[in-house]
Amino acid sequence: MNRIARRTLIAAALGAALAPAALAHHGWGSYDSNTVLTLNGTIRAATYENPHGTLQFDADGKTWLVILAPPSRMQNRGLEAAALKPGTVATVVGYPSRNDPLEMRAERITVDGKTTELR
Amino acid sequence: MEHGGGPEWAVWLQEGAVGRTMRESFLLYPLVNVLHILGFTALAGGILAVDLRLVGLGRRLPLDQVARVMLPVALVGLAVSVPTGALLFVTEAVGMWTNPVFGWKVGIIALAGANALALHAGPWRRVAEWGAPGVKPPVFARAAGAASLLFWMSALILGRLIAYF
Repeated sequence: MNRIARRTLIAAALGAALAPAALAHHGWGSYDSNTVLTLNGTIRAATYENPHGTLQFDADGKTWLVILAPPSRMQNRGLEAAALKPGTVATVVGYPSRNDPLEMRAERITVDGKTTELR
Repeated sequence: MEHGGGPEWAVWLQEGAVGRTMRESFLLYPLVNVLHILGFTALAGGILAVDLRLVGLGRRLPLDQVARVMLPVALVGLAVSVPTGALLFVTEAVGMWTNPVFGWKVGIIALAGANALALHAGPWRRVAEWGAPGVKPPVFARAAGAASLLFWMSALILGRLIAYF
């Protein structure tokens, strides 16, 4: 390998190493994809916003923060904002947050017999 | 939009008209993201071309002429990256402010800027001589080029990793 390539490779490796691995507070890497949760409950509130929609979701006696998909994706796949209005019964399947026991990232949501894949 | 654990000014910023519009608009958010990508591609690409020449790639080419072509590309990239980055920040000001990866990215970009200033205030004034074909640039210039490569590649990597932390 010539000098330039070696220097570039070192630079890239150092750059990657600089990113702190310890702290993960809400990003896509902070969910445990080895554990699948299925929550049956009621939507208390919803946001249909970028970068991704969310639900305040009552299930199992708790209120969960459920992370959905970008509004453009949800709409493309047939899940409109109106389908997520408060009081709607739904099932969400997804992965729990490693940091917050009341947060999960939904892979799919079923409302009124219709399932929408979110990923 | 959740906003636990953030300073008042960040909550105020993201709940304002600009933040709300970015979050609610289907088209605007992806468009700003794409423009940010195009901007930093030109910014990092223009700079990397000069850095690679500084550390020895293409020494047949006069460095001041490479720079004359590529640095304006980088400046256009900067002009696009900064406002689009600001819009992306406002969209989730609390989340960005408390995201360590975002903080690292901004810090590294500041270092890259300081490095560039040092190079341009110093050895660059004689670049027509030491940047001539076949001539080895002075060690500080080469080191600044290598450091710049490291800083900008780190910034690109950290920018991508923001979403994962």
